[in-house]
Amino acid sequence: MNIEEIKKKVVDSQIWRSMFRGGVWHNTPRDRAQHIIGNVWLHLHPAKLRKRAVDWTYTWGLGGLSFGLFFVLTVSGILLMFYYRPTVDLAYQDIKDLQFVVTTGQFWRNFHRWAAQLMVLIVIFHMIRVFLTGSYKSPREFNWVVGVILLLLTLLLSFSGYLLPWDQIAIWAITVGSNMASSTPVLGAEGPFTIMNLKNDARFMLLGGTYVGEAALLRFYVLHCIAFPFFAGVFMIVHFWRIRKDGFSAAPMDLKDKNEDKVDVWPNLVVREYMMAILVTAGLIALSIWVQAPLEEIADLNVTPNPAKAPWYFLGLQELLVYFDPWIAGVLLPNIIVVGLMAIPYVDDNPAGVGFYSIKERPFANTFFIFGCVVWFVLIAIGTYFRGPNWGWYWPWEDWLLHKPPPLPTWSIPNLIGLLLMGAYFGGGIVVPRIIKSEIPFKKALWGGLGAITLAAVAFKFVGSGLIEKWSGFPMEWGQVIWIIFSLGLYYILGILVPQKYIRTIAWPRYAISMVFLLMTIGVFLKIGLRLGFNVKYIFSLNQFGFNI
Amino acid sequence: MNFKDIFFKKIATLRNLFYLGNFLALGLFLLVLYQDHFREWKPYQRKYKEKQVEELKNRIAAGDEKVKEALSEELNSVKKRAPEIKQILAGDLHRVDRCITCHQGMDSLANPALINDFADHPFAAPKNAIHAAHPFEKYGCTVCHDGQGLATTFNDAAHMPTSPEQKADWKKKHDWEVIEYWEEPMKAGPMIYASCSKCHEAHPNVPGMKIVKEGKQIFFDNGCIGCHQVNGDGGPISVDLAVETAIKPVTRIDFGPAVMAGLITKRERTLENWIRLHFSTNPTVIVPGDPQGHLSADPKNPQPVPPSAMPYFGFNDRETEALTAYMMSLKEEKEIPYSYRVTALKEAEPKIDNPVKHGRYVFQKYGCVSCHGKDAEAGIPVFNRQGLRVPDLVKTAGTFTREELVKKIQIGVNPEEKEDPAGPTPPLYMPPFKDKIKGREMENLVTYLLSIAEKQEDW
Repeated sequence: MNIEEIKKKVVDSQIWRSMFRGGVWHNTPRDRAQHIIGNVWLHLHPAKLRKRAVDWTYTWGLGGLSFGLFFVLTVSGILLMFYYRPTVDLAYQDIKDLQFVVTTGQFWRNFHRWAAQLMVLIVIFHMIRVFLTGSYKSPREFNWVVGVILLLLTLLLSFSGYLLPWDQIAIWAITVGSNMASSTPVLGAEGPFTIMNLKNDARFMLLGGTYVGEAALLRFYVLHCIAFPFFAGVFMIVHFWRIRKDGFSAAPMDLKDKNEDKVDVWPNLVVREYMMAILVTAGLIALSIWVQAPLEEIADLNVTPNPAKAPWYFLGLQELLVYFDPWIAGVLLPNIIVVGLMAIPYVDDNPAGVGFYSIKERPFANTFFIFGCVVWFVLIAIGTYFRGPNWGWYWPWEDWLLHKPPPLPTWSIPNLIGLLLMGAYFGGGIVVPRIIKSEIPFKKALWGGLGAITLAAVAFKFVGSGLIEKWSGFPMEWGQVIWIIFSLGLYYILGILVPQKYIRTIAWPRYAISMVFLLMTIGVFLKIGLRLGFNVKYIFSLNQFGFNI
Repeated sequence: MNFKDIFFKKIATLRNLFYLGNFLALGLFLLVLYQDHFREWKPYQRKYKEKQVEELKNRIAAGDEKVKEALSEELNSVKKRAPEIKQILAGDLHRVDRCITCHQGMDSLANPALINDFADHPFAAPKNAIHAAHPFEKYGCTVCHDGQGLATTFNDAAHMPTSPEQKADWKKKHDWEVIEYWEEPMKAGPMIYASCSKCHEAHPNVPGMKIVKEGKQIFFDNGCIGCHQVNGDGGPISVDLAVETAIKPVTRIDFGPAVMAGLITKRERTLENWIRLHFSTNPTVIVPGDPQGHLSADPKNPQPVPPSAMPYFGFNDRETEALTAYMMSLKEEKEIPYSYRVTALKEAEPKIDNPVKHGRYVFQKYGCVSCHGKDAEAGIPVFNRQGLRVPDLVKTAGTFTREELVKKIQIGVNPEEKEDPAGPTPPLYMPPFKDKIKGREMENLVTYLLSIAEKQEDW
């Protein structure tokens, strides 16, 4: 008997036939389709798709990678669970045992850690890709919402895993994070309008106590290993099913060529998915061989590291604590971001630009979204690389051991002026683009406006400098002039010119919602400028309600 | 065909990438297994085994028939021994020590006599009285030696070198650095004797203990207790050396000035080095404060901070090591159960009848010497105190009546007058001794001070 005969015999046997649908493989379109349809793991794919849709550069495999990473994280997580006991006495030692004793223990810990960090990054990139290709538009609105929930679950999965090694970075990152829960309005003991105390507020529920201790460790363990993966699984099933049912967004039907050729998903798409997965896995293995996951001293609630930093993806929010009242930075703004993200497909009613990257067909949406992402990552970069002891400003090349003077004392703008400024800011941003009915010539207005702003700022430096020094005691610096030009320029271009050109004609409610979100995003940037450049603590402050912005 | 076409159609084809990706992932995972298999501790065990086998063979060759029979069985069991991680579980002391994975001669179950013929580290098993008195299976290793007992690699075990030569050698062999994130690196050389007082609080009489006792004597002679406390006893000016300094977490220590001044490197930030720096250099270099107020929150209203009040004693190397050992010996380890501890009895004071001599002893006992000088003859410098120095009692004591002097000692001077009114508050002041020096001690102290005071001219 030769090999072909043995193969035939095996494949035709009752055992084989009972396990795998279909007989001996013939490389025919029918078999290739059957391979997808008859396989539970693959059948969420269509059997065929347009050739254009398998381009690497459309999805970059980001959605598939997000799931792939979730999968390898589950596998490596299961392996780690065999050795890890979530108690204050044992957790840290178990991690040390993984490092020093358990066969490939250190590797799997590294792998789990780096895969988790990568997953956060990849999921964010996946969201950006879906936005830029307009893939959230009808009929896929709800799947975008599910995607936002999955993004949140990814962050929560990573965050809850942070505590488990029970070292110093673990408890202090969780302490910083969970403290935000206690500034929740109404439900947090330190938030405005609170009806709770320290022993029954939102943070207490999260930690099972008033500090990060035994109960918190067990809670986070259960959340990390069971609750969050369970919910992530549930939402992933919905997410994938909806992709299939709503249709894959890439390569929309070409109206000129309705009978465009299609290719078989097996092997054309499957091999590409596999390629991305295997290359990323290889990269992760390499990373885990050469870069060790951090493990600091054993957790000690009496020794606060300075600074105590949250995980990197929350450092943007932690950085916002500098500029706003804790409940605004830690609760209100994240909620606005999440709600805003979920609202996107319902606010954006521009039907153009689905299934391909296009700034031309969706100029406003893409500009706004990219700008929002830039703000988010700039904040993260500041929190990660530019903040040192006492949350002071340290350049990346400066040693944290260096003693630096604290920042200059801050001052607040009187409420009335602050209110007027904010009124002018939001009012101007919402009304001006709308009431100028005819289109402003963009390039002319852009350079003219920027020139005027620069001239005005430089003139102010020479004329108003003396006044400012007399009033504040400090001379005006060129750095502050640049801040003024940047802030006013940003507001002028993104807040006035761009919406005036592109969205002045859309329906009022959509216009107003878009503009409020846009102006808030720009406003965060401007507030950073006011604080870092001009030492302004708050623009408007209602201490009774803890409403300080 | 141009290069681009050749590259994408012939080289970077899907099929090639498919194979490349799979082999890459597989190869890398095999590398993981390879690395995991060839762990750092295994060669040490292999070497130890070889040495044992060789030694047994020599003994068999030299011995008679009876010896041969007895030893060949042992030889077989040694030969059969597979490499494994070995550990001592010292449950009472909350320790898991894997040191014997490499230091196999110290495995008191496999080698109960703690004797072998190997001279070189890590194979040697030096039996000594202290090892004999502390069975390893009960105490483990790190309770005395410190270091990371859980570790199975040279660097992670937190080995510390005893000499610059050894350090250079380790750097070459093991790429050695001071371990990060482990508060208790090994105690190198004679510093090990600082561990004894974790249980034997009264510094027992063993030969190596000399260094700790010497440190204690220097501590007494220089009157450190005038400013510092040890477990609550002492002056109020600075920290409690037992309760605060000896257990200070490294992250809480401000190493900035010391590292910026180049006294130690960033990686050498250990508690032991922090303590040592106080004796080996001028403390105002490592705790310079902020005398000009540059670091104040409001530059228009500077809040200057004086440098460390601790004087520079100019200790030599030997004294520095002795004092460091004594400081380290003040550490109390809460994890050690009380049943393991031997409490120190209060040391008896010498009996001195001569009032002046007793007064001199009191002057020493309460640490007055640290600021006023060994014989009250020369005060130490004080930052921004009026006159910039502690008064020389030889000159000033005579200006007081007996009652005034008693009162001065009882009440103290706080705060001291500033030299520069805009400068920081002087870091050193005369603390009140009302509750400490009383009765005969006070009488004799004043008698002593008046006896050495320069005579004032009668007006």
